[in-house]
Amino acid sequence: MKRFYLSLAVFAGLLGVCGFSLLKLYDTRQEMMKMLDEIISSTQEGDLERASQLTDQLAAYWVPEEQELIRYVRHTDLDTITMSVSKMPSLIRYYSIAEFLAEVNQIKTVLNHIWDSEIPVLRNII
Amino acid sequence: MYVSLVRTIILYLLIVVGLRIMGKRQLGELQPSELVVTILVSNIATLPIEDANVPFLGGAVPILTIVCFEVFFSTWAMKNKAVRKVISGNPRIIIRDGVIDQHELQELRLSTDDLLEQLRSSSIYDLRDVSFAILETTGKLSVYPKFAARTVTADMLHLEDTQHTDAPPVVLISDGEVIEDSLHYCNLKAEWLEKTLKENGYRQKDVFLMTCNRKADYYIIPKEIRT
Repeated sequence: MKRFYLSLAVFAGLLGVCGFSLLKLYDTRQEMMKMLDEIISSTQEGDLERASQLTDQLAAYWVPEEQELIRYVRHTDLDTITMSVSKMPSLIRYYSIAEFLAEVNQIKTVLNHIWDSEIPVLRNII
Repeated sequence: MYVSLVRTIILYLLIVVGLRIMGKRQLGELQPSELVVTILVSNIATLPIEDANVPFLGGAVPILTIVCFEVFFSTWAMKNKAVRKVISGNPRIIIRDGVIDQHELQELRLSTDDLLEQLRSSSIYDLRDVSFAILETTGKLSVYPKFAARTVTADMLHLEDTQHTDAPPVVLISDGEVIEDSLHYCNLKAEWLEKTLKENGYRQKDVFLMTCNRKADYYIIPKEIRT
């Protein structure tokens, strides 16, 4: 029975790790979405200075978050976000608004895709 | 490449620990469910090793989950006969009172060649020597020969065990190292060992192997001296 209780403890630990990873992903996605929405509205209102500041904040926020998420999420999806985040400051600085907004939308799409593929629902399991 | 190196070492250790948790059952004759577990674990382990884009936890979590569920199910099966039947199946008698159950052979999709091959591996070359043959859940054939074909035992000859050989000899010294548990098993003391070695003209460190039983009947193999 020693092995049974050890397995129970390990399984409880696994449930904890899975829950924690999902919670972390949820928090990061919520925060990123909030920042991206603010960037979009500032850009659409023509306040490019504010959009540029928010883009810098987004980049600063993303770097440590990516380091954390890399433990739980496939790296290719995170790499896509990192690429877009790195392009954004230059795009807003040199007024490539259309491309800038396209990158913002790409980040939102990838974030939603990661979240959708990680939540434990039937369509992901089957 | 260092990532692959470190991941491989960690996964190796994880699988060793996993197999230890699953216990010795996993290392001997495999039940169907145990075979599945072994194949799955070995396949999943290669994913994070081969593909650096897969997070390490992407390999570790499924491996540990499989290990845990193997222990859960084997514990459940141990306590519940119906579960045991579902997971492992039942042993099937394919030769009963010397008669082959042809229907059972067909059910098991076991050809006569397979049957004879399994009998030969049990050192039975004539079908007429078999009283019962049972196909175990591991796929191994257990054979109970007819009386005339059975190996003569001491019991049949009414021989007495004057040497008390029922307790087998154990290793007392291995490569110059005394195994305390074996000394305890033989009900012997370190003083006896020291005295015995002295009488035989050996020092402890010169002994390659020393075995002994509970009757203090010992056998010493000295270390080879390389020139």
